[in-house]
Amino acid sequence: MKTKLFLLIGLFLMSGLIQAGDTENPVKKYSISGYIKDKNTGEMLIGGGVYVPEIKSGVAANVYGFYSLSLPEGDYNFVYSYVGYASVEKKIHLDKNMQLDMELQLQEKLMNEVVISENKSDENVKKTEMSSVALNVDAIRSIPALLGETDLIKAIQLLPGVQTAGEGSSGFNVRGGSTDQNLVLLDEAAVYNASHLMGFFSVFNPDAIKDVKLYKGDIPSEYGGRLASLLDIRMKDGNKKEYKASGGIGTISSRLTFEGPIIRDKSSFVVSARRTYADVFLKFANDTNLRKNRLYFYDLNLKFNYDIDRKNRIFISSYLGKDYFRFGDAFRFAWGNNTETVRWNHVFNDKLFSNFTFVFSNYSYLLGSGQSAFKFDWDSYLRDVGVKADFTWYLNTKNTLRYGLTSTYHRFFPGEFVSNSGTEVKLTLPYSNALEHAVFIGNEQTLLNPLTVNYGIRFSAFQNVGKGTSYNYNDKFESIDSTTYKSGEVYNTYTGLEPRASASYILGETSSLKASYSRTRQYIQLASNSTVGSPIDIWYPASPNVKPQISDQVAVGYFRNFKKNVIETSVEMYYKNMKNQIDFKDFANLILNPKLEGELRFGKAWSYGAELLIRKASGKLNGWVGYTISRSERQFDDINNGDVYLSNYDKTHNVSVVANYKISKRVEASLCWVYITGSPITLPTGRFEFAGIVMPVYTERNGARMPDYHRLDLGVTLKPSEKNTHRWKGEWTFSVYNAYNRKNAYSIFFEADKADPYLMKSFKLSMFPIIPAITYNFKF
Amino acid sequence: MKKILYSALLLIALASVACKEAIDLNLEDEKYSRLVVEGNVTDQYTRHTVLLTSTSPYDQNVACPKASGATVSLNDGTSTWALTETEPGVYMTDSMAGEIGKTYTLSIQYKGESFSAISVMKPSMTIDSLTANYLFTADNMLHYEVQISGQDNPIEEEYFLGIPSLNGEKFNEIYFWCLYSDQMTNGTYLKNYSLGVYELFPGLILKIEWQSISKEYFDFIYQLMMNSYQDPMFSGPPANVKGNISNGALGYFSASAVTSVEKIIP
Repeated sequence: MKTKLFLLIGLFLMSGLIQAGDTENPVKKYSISGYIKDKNTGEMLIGGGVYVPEIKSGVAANVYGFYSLSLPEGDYNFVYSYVGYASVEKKIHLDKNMQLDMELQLQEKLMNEVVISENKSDENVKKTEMSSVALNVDAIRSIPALLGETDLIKAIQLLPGVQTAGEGSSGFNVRGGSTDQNLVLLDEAAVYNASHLMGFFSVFNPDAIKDVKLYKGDIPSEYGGRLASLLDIRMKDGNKKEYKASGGIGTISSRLTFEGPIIRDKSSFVVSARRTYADVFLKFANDTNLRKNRLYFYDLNLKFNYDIDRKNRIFISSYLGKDYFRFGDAFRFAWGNNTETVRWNHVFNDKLFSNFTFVFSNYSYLLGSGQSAFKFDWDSYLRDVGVKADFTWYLNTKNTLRYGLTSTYHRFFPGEFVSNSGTEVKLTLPYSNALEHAVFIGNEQTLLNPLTVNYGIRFSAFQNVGKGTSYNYNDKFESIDSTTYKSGEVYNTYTGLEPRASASYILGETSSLKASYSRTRQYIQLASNSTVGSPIDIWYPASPNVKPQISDQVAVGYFRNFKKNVIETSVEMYYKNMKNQIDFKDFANLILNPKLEGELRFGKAWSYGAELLIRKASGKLNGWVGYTISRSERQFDDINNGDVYLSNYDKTHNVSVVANYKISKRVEASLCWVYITGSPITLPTGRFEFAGIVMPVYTERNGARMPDYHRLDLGVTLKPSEKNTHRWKGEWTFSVYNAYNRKNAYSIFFEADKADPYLMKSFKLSMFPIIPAITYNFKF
Repeated sequence: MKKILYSALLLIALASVACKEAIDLNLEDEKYSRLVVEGNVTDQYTRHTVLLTSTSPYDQNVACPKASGATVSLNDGTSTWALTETEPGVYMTDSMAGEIGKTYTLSIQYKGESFSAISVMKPSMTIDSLTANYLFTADNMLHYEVQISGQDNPIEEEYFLGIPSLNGEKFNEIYFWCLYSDQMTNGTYLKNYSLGVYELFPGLILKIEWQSISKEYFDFIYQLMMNSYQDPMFSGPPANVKGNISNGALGYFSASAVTSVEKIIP
């Protein structure tokens, strides 16, 4: 029934699309297309805008900086713009198909003084897109960070609708979704674990990143596979004009980036590396044994691009990151991601842009010990190999179609454990395979001028492929028998439609109303019993026992800009309903368990809330204020006696204030303050004694809350003098994390008193006291 | 194993920064008090004990009240033994030995309510030897790795509980207990199978009582250990430990066959 309805709506809209084409046919139309780039570096400007005042319409460049517009013959003004860049207006008589690449210049480079007002785009009001925020890396850099390490994910966590999984965690929860319901893409490759050093830092080296965009809902039909959000991270292409180096020496890590042209204006590269000397952490430890050990992480980003000709471009990007711990012979532990992406942009004609992608992603970890008493080795991985073809068809000024298909092969190797201390103990969990496919189509269409709609549909399929063993469970989740499948045999298939639609209705020059609906399906998920996640958590696929997760989200929003679009504001409300949600039974054993599926429990979840964002992206004072009020609940027949309980990430109020103030040409001060309602926890109500110890009795899951969380971070950046004409330019950043030294509770626990075992004392563990840091950044 | 791993991870994460301090919590109190059973019957000829207590509010920092005046009996399908209360909350059989393969039912009448639990006595396992190897000294305590050697039975899915004692004094607290399951080692000869690291001293007599237990009791003990070792980063959400006593009572009644092995610490 539902499907039929969607098809009908689709047909109706498509007929509009064809009609639109027909009525415009009598007038001969020409297209203007090209790339929007940065004048100094040649970097493509993702989402750069072209606006044509004569038709009160325009188009935004795609993620490769490409734009195309079709217009009847005539004289037009084309206004090219991008946030933070000076707009360029070009008068053109359009009487043939034209190609025009536009290079824009950073505003601050153009003028010799601090910009107070600038021409800013009103895209946030005009576009149908909602529930999404793009953050520019420079804005992220100005936020004071823990130990001075600029962190994309920590910046994302400051946006309304996004909750931190735990202090210092790289996990985040979007609109009541769990941390594994976020699709994190680095140049189109899925990153399965974005954490370094237990999550205190994320794996994205800001020096290698160009653009970050978070979708909290209304995810384009091009993307799928996760319920809650898409975090789309794009790496820098590399300077096409001149060789540049930049880097930084920080409190815990150092960074170095080198970029430049291979063939000027045609081909460039970027190499970016970061490594910690976190081993110095250990110097503070009291234990002398601890000081001798290893503890570091590194990231290495490489990217190469080549413009073969006007119609063909190639990009190769690569990321390798690793964490490594070692305690002498006693213990070693390493984990890391490796992603590779090869992309080929092909322009079929002025109206049809295409991109072909090959991706590889691998997440693996290993643990081991060489000490005779506990000698063991343990490893695990998850590997993806995928292809994708996507097309953008700039049909006419009223319709832009995006369509394509994608296919990914997943291999899950949950782990092998070999211990040899006298008796050999070996446990190998067999690997399993799966295929995930999707076809998608979407159209952004202007119906009647104030109303723009964007609608699309994604058809996704997931297949479990042998060789594999599937255990069969009874209704008590006990395994009764198992079925083994031959290599290459497809033994289970799930398919489903994922309709997505959004609309914006423009109320005036500066305000609009928007609404969206999206359905998302998720076929692979993380087995994690902790709220913050750990590197040894494993991903496992949908299967005959595990149905795909499904989410339906509706959102409405009001968007309004003030002061010539310098101040953007928005209020959004959402309701999300999630089916086939997964939680774990009490005392679940999730690691090295061949019968993992027997530990899973299935239920439903829902969340709703309102988000307010006031943002000023430029000017002497810039930053944002975000506020979220939300609720997220779950109901599982086999958990909490079947009663509804709060999600671990239900935090009623969440306030964040991010501000950056340019005191003078050389000095910038920044501030970040957050206030979050305490996380739900389960506290004991009663006690009993068994085998000499006191045991808690619980009545309700997540029935209590931790104390509220709040924290202030401050930073000051000293920039080089403008009179300094040396090639070398250095700047100092001083930051203070948790400036008023609030002892926020990271966890609450109980311990029996040493003298009196009946006296149970309650404690809170707090993570970070006040932490100052210094970073020196340079460019040459 | 998991415990070692988690401690190591936690240590890395918290080595320099974390800080622990007392916090006042207003805990809600449980509305009803429940009976708690700790009972055991073995194949050894002795007086077997059942301890009865009841639950109390979590923040009431005194011993839980003893459940006195209950009627307790044990049945093996043919014979029934009545237990006598030797001191408040402590109920004992007369001297008797359980038999491997028999199903034991514990019945309790307390304050007008009936409670029962069932446990099957599983076969024991032969332990050939016990070794204790000196590892290191920390805080003036000598640390030894304790290992056993013995033949695992060909029966699949067997579970054992090791309870150590020093100079005849049993370690009653579960922190010192060890659990063994044959999931990865069924039918093999366990050679120097590690039970863990203990603080010992030369000349002491270490004894390990090796009890056959059910999977349910294995899980129960494991869950007790997990609950007494809640670490914030890796433990799942806290949950109630599920025992085998009917009618909402807590605790466990277990029947087990016992083999023991002894060693003088070198």
